[in-house]
Amino acid sequence: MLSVFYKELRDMFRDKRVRGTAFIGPIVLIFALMTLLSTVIGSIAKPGGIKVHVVNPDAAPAKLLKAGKLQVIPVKSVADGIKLVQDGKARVVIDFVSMTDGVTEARIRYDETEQLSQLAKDRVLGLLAESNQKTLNEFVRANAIPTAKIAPLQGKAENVGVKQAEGSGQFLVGILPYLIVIWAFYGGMTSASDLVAGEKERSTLETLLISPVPRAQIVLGKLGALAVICLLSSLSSLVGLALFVVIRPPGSNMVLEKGFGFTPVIAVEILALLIPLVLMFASLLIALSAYSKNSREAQTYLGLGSFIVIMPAMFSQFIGLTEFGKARWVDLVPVLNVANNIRQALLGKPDLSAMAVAFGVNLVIALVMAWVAVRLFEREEILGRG
Amino acid sequence: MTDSVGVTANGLTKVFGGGKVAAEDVSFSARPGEVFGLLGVNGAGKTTTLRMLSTVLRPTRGSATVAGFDVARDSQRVRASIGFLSSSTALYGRLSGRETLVYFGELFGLSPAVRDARIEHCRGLLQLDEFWARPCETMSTGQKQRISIARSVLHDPPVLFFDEPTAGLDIVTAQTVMEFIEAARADGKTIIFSTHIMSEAERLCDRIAIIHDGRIVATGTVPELTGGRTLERAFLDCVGYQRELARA
Repeated sequence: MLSVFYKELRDMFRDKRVRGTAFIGPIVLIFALMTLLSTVIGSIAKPGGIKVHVVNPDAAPAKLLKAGKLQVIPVKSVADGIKLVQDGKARVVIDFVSMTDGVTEARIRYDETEQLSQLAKDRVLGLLAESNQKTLNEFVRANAIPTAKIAPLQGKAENVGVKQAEGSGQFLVGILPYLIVIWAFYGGMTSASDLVAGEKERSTLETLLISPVPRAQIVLGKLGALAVICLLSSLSSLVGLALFVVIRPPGSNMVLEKGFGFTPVIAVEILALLIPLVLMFASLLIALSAYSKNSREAQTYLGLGSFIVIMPAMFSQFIGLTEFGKARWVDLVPVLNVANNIRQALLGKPDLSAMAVAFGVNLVIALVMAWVAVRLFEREEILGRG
Repeated sequence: MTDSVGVTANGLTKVFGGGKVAAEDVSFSARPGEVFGLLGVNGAGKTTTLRMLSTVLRPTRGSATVAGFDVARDSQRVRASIGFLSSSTALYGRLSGRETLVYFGELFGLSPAVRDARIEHCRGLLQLDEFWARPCETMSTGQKQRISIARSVLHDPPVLFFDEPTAGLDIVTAQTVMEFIEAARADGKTIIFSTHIMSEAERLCDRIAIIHDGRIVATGTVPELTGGRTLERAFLDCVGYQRELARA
């Protein structure tokens, strides 16, 4: 079994496609993705980047927009402005109209289907609300009106969560578990199609089957090697992220609001969660590959199989918005339980009992899948396909 | 162990899913130092028979012993006692020739000392020096086939199966393979050689079984089978060439 394990590992490391998809791919893609997201988030958060079209830019209230760091662009008429909004060439068009009661109404025309248009509208409404609050505060002060008369109810929020250094920022907490889980699967896909289906196609499997090594040992050797590749691929996505943290491209401050948040303890917790997960993935991938006639058929099945991973992994990104994150049944759902526990660990709130349940559940499923893979490998009608 | 050496097949039958009979009631025996030929057209059942003997496929009916071990009950020992070579070189492209031999030496359970000695022996015998350090994917077909031969005899098995080993090879490489088979016979190996090439069968085989539609239709030495005809004519008569023509 060890001979098969070492041979497969060496073979996979020599394969350019495996190096590209399992190791270099996650590093480059994660770095590029994070840089792109930083740029997008940075541009959304930067008020100076928001352009607003104003019909009467010289009107006094228009100064408010400039003071709020919005870029004011004159437009001839409301009709012209609306046309620009409808054509997607303007985010909003604003027309200041003086009412008879002394109120100036800022009429904002925007496109509800465009997120940038909505952002601009909200920003303008926010500036107007801030200005009104300032006016009100001055009036209250000038007339010595007690605050209790005009605002008898006050809200005061206090953050009692974990200290900043103990966890990652919200953005990383949302995306990291997803990336770690996804790459554990995708990293193994290229190798998996080659490991059994590809060997059938090239007739090398027959030479292996004629050796005196028991078939169960052959498949377990291959499975072990694939699990290592899955694990390394998953960890490569963290290397990509670490590069992003070290290089800190423009806009990264928004994403890394609380730093990387990675501690040795969190790393150990993640590793413990990943071990049964990669065994489970490797068993699934090997079973699908064993069932396939050739590499092409294997890739089709592996593509379909990837949805089993993608769906719970995607859900894990939004689990923080629901009550499910704390539900016990989540620990019984493979993939989702790993992503959710990684999320909790990154938040600095690891739940060791939940981790133990997730570890156990995934290990049992991994063993069952490994048994299925071994049984498939022992059936001549399966190995003889193709 | 039911017999000390050689290969015996008794009524070997293989029925695949869907009821397709690939081999039916195949019986023969081959002695050490003998090349036993399985002669038949493509799809006649030669490869299925060899696969049953090499334990890749389980017989649906019948029994067989290889090097004295039962193929159904003692498959691991059978596998340790055989070498298998086909026309498909079936090498791992990213492993070098030497790495391939080391890997298969490990799979066959050879100790490092024995393995290295056997690798050295094969290197000299098959003249692998020039190319064996290169990845197999960069080798010519002839070079690959020489590595394949070395792989199949590395563990010095008493029984060798050759499944159309010269198909698709150039004349020089094919000659190397045939000379190797002759040397193996002289070395006392039991050799089962499947082919559809008459000249190869005539040159190499001590006895031949003509196999057609999964059944052995004739067995004997070349003179016994031909009876004054050419082997090709004898073969065509055996397989009912005229009937085949009408069926086609």
